[in-house]
Amino acid sequence: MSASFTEQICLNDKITAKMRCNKLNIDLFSYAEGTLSEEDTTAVEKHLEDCVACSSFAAEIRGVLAVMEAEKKVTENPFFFTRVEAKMLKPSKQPQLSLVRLLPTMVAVLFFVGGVFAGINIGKLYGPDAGASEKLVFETKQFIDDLGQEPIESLIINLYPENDDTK
Amino acid sequence: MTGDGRYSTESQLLEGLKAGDRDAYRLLVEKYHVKVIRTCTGFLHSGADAEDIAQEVFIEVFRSVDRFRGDASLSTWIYRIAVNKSLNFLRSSGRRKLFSFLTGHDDNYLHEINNEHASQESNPEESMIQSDHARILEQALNSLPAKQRTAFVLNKYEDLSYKEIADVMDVSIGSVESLIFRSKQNLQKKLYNFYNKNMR
Repeated sequence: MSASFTEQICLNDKITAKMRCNKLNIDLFSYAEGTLSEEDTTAVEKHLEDCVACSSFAAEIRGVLAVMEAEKKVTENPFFFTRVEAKMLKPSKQPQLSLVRLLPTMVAVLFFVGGVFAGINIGKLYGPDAGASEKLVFETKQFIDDLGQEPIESLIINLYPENDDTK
Repeated sequence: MTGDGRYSTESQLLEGLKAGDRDAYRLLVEKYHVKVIRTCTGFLHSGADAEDIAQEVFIEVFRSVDRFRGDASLSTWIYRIAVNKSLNFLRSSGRRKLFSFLTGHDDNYLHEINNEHASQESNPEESMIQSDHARILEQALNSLPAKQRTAFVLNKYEDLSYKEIADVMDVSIGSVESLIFRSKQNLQKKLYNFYNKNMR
């Protein structure tokens, strides 16, 4: 226990018994337990008479220790062995249990992944650029398809048919 | 001849356990189950959980008795298993609590502890104070480092001597003294913090 702890309690109570608190801050728990020597117990009790905060905190520790004492009271259970035996003979369901536990997570992951894919595809179908890509591909095909374009010779012949020597 | 007569010494009991004799098992459980449940209660602070873990301790004892070399006494070995099982349960329940917190499920573990203590008191105010003390005790003990907590629980709940605790924890007697001293100091600090918070 740090020195400041008991000093703080005592200052709250406007008691400046700093030296006594320095001694007390180590022993309050043991005092409440009843494991202090007779001499130390007397010293602590003398301090507690003067310090309301320390005495209140000691009462709090006693309350907690009383709970501990209550927890220690375990009674013999005549059916305990039967229960252990039954538990031991029961077939282990551990692997199945872990799969069952994993199932909701797996379903959630599947839903998430499916949702993402569905979102992407729906976006492609109904987005602002829907159909534009097909048109673009068509135009691009025309542009790069040399065979599909009118040859320059045919264009000149069509513009100036009088110069057509083939006729 | 009853099991009690055949197994009057620890080595005879051990022989019976290794031979798979049901009487030996029953005798072992009858002899140690209160001690094991009490030790587990010191860690778990819940009667139902402590009994569940105690059952697992004995199942572990029965399953691994063939591997028990007899370096330590039977009781030391059983205490060791009880401590390990309890600490493992606390770790897994800590993860469970975190998971239930993240998923938003209500965790009624602390309510159960509080109700166990509160139900023993008829006066509502008294029962409220007692369940408050139970909660504070559990939180203060759980915040201690595992070694300090183990030494403290074996000393306070089981009244084991420093030598017996040293055997269970596989450390020196000096270390046990130091662990118990520090655990009491830390507990006083933690209890003061709770006390201070409640006073505000």
